[in-house]
Amino acid sequence: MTLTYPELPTIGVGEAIALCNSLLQDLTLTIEGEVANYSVSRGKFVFFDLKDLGGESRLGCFMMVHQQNVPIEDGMRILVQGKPGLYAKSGQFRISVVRIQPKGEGSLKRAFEMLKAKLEVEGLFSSARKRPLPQFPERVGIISSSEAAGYGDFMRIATQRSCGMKFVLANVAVQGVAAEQEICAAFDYLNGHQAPDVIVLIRGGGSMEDLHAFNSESVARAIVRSKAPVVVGVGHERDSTIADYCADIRAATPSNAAQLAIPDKLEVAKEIVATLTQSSHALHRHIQTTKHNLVTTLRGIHFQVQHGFSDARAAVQAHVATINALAPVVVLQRGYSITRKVNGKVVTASSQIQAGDQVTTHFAAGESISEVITVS
Amino acid sequence: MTKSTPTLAEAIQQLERLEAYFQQPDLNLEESIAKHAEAVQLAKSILERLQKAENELEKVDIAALFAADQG
Repeated sequence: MTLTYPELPTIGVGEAIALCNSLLQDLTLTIEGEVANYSVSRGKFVFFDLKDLGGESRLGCFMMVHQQNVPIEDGMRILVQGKPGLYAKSGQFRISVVRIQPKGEGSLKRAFEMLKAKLEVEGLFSSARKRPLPQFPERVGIISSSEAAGYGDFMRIATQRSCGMKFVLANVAVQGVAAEQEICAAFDYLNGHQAPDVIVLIRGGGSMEDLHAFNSESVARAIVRSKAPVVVGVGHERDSTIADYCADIRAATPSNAAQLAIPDKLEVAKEIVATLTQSSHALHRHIQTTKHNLVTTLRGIHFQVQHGFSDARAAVQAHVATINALAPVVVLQRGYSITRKVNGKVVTASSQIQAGDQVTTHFAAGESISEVITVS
Repeated sequence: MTKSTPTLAEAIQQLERLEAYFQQPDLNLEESIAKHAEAVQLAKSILERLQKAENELEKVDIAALFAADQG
């Protein structure tokens, strides 16, 4: 429909803008151009111009900061997906941007470097943040495409090594527009519903454009946010992605991811045998030490008891010596005698008796009765 | 009822009491002869018991313990 003057009724400016916008509302454009005059206002609003390479044409673009999925700067070649429209307050024509994608190897590299620098400052790559993998995982979450060569490589090695663990595949697109969102959703699904012990994010190698999702901020944050530790195995060793830097463990390839995340049953068996042997040796050493300590203690007791016997014997002999020294009968045996008066009192001095007294003399053997003749 | 055999410690205490008896002045001769005979007999008995116990102790095979320690 073409409306031309004078068929159109006269309308106000606001109505004119609203009419134009209503005509444009179903239009979504994907425009390629170079960024100019990039700025962020009040930390919330992003403005930039998109211009043709070497040409004069320009389009004003606007988006909110949280919508900016890729860092950009002036001179960068990008694809912008957005809706055109007139801004009521200024009457300026602008593209309201929904999505940005760097275009060409140079822009992709620049966006990669800018995002890497930003996330590094935030500490997402810090080794202090990285978690160790469980030694014996029972549930392994896999985020990959079932069609990807990398997935096949991973499963071949993983099944060779594993002994009875469960694998849960979150089948996602690993390249293309949907990849970024599907990978993030897969992290949420696995962590929320499958309680995996480890999550492995894999795909085969590819160009920087193919690996776009693995260099995105949202996938980087999903890796860091994951409850289960994450192994990232992308492509070949030369391909470093933002996802690699964020991973708890970075694997060189999908096959290497299987080697790192899945314990080898043969190695586990060897380890068990080694542990048993070590335990057996430790137990043997403990028994020897205990035996040695016991013998030492017994020898000590033996010595103490022997010592006790010697002491007791010496004490008995000392008592006997004292008794023998004091016992009257022993004195009598040496030739001494005891003299008593008739009343039984022992005579210890000549003054206790007088001539004519009868006294009894006790010898070691026998006794005699005598009369005192004289006292001196 | 028969009197139970005193322990070695009790026998030694009895010997000590006899020693204390002989340390008194003016001992009764007859009694002291009997006490002396008792002391001699008691000391002999104690020494025999000590010897017997010591012999038992010697039977403990220290060599076997050494062997166990080495084994």
